[in-house]
Amino acid sequence: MIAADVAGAGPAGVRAGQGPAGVGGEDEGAARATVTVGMTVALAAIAMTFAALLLAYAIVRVQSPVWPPAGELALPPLWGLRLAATVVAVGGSGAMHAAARAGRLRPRAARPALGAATAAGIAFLLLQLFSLRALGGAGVHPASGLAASVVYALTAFHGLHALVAVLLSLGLLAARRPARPGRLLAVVAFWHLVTAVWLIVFGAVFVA
Amino acid sequence: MSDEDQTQKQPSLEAHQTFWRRAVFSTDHKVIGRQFLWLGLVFLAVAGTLAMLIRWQLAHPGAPVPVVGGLLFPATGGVVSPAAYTALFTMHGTIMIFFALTPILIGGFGNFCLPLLIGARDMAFPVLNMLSFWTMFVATAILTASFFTPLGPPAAGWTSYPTLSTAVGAPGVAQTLWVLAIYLNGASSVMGAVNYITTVIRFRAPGMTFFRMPLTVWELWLASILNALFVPVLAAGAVLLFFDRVFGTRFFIAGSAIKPGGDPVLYQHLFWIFGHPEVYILILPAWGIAGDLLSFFSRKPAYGYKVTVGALIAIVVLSGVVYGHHMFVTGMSPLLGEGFMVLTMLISVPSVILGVGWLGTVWRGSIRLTTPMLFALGLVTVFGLGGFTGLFLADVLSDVYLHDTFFVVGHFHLTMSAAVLLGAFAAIYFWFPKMFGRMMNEALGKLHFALTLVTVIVTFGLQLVLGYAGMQRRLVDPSAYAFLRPLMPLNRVVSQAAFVMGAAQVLFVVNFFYSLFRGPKASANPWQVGTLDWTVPSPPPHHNFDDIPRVFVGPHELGNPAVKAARGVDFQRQDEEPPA
Repeated sequence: MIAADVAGAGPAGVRAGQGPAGVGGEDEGAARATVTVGMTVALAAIAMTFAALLLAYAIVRVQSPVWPPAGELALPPLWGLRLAATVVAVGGSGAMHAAARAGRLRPRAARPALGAATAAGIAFLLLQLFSLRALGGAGVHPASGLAASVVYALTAFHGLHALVAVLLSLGLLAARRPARPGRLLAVVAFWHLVTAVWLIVFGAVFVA
Repeated sequence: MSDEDQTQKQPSLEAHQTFWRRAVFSTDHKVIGRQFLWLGLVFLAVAGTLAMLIRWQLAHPGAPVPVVGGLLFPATGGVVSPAAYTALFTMHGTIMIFFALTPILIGGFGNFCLPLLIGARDMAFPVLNMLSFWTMFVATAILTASFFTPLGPPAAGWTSYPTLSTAVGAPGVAQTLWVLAIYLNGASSVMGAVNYITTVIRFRAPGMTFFRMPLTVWELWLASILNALFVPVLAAGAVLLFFDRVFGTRFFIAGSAIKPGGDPVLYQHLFWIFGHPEVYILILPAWGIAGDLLSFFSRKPAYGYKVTVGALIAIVVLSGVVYGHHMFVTGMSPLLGEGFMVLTMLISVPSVILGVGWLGTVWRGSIRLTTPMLFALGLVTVFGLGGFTGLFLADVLSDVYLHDTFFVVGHFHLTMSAAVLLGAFAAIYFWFPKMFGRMMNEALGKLHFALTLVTVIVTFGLQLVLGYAGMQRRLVDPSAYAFLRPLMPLNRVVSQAAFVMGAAQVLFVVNFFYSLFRGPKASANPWQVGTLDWTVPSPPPHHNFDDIPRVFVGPHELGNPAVKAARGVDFQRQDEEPPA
């Protein structure tokens, strides 16, 4: 959004009333720097949301002498699905990284990597959906207990962000003109955040 | 940075052509600022009306509300029932904090003033800015809808602690709507914060160094940093509460011997990690406006400007690590409590530096007692009163006694409600000419100020006394308790002062609308100050500045004899080279 905003704000470097001028290469760097600042703040805010959620998880987990808490059934680990989701998430981020590198030289060159990343994102979402379905199939529901609450809430809320990442990438792919680097970099940064959060969730909730 | 660099960074702005893009879905920061202001004022009126109903009940428990009672509470014959009472104070607090004061100061004046004050043509991300307003609008629509749900409005307090706010404590959809509205409100605030932080970093005019920014900009910027970092923590609490209510998760449902569960106090942590910085998010813009106005209308530079900025930064940092003082009575370890107490007490050091700055600014100034100046002085007075009472609540020992009493209510109303409200009025009277191109009536404004200040001090000052005497907050009928019955006359005085305060706001409404259409046309610089907003016409053109200005001096260059001798005025415009 931020990137689309600045990119769409019109050409810089013209006095008001002079009307639009061509998009000069020289203002590209300034627009990119503005997007970088905005995106940093936005990512910090999103990261704070997840940090607070993980803090809540840490508190309930530390308060309980055993995990899952006494009286709750152990959750099925679903290693296959979750490891696959992790691999796909990291792969998607890698593809986004490649897209950013390619796009720096020639915007259109970013498209194949962007397509691969989007496919990875969709695969990640499907895998997460399957893992929640598998939990439900095993008789574990959000109301089953605290451990189940943590898994459902973190997976779902993180999944929403992954969905936004996929939609942003689809938006870039669907655009008639290739995205300007500022916009692409912002989407890439968001992707990396979503992947990083998943790695922390995976480690803290499923491995630890 | 050269002029060339700056004009390249700033987009040129084509004026919107259609009505919808010009007035409704506008990306112009000035239009968005006015939209936030209107929204905030409407909800200020709503929340103020709820306060009047609360005060009626506390003065005359069990008596039907006059005139509108039958309409509002038909089932009880116009009497405020206990359920209605809890809904009243819940919605009063929620709306005042999230949907009235924040939109007026940060949304309204933040949007309107920030680009003008730093010499920018607009915010860094205009479309995001528009989305910020419309997200807030959706949030207000959802919250308004919660009034009309089958089981009644949300009634778990503005803090919405579990277990009151869980599906068990608050069945029905209203509390879920509250959670959604708060989440969207937070999203709107974060969008605003992204814009404000970026705009200040990237779009300052050439020469506008950080230490040449008006205090208003500094404090909006710092409030935005707090918004970006701490509103998400409330969002996390809201997400978990939403999951608990809708999907049956058990984060905040206390466990039992037969069914394990979560921890209701967990929510309090998340809420107050956000909640304490929120106090500063509210008051910082008001402080900034007061700091600038005191200088402008004392015709003197702000005393200790850089030290003030340093103190503000210290306050912002400390505000993030003191939240535990809201939870002294939750069974916190005494060592932790002591830590939070000491950190909280530390805030008084930079706060006193701020106060010294304000007094030093006014000291021996050529004071012009205009309406905005009066409100700025009122803010300093009221915040001072409220600030001192905070010391009693920061101390664990006295807090254990005063916790959950009207002392707390009086304290936070003085500091983060009345002081913020006075700041909002100062801003409205001051920037009205720039916003709408017309002057407000000074005589009405001064009468409005006098009545508001006196009634604010009586209302909230006496609440401190009530709390000290042991009256708990959130009681629907204090007269039901023998030990509180002797306090009923005092309760009635508080209510009468509050009613006069409410009535006095009619003066403001009349002045506002009359001036909007019939006020004298404002010149570009009616207050004779030098900041960039007053160098452009009133109201400013769509693109603010024909040419991005070059800044030579700080914002408070007033009363300089050299300027007076050279130019015949006692203020130095920021965009003019100072005389040799």
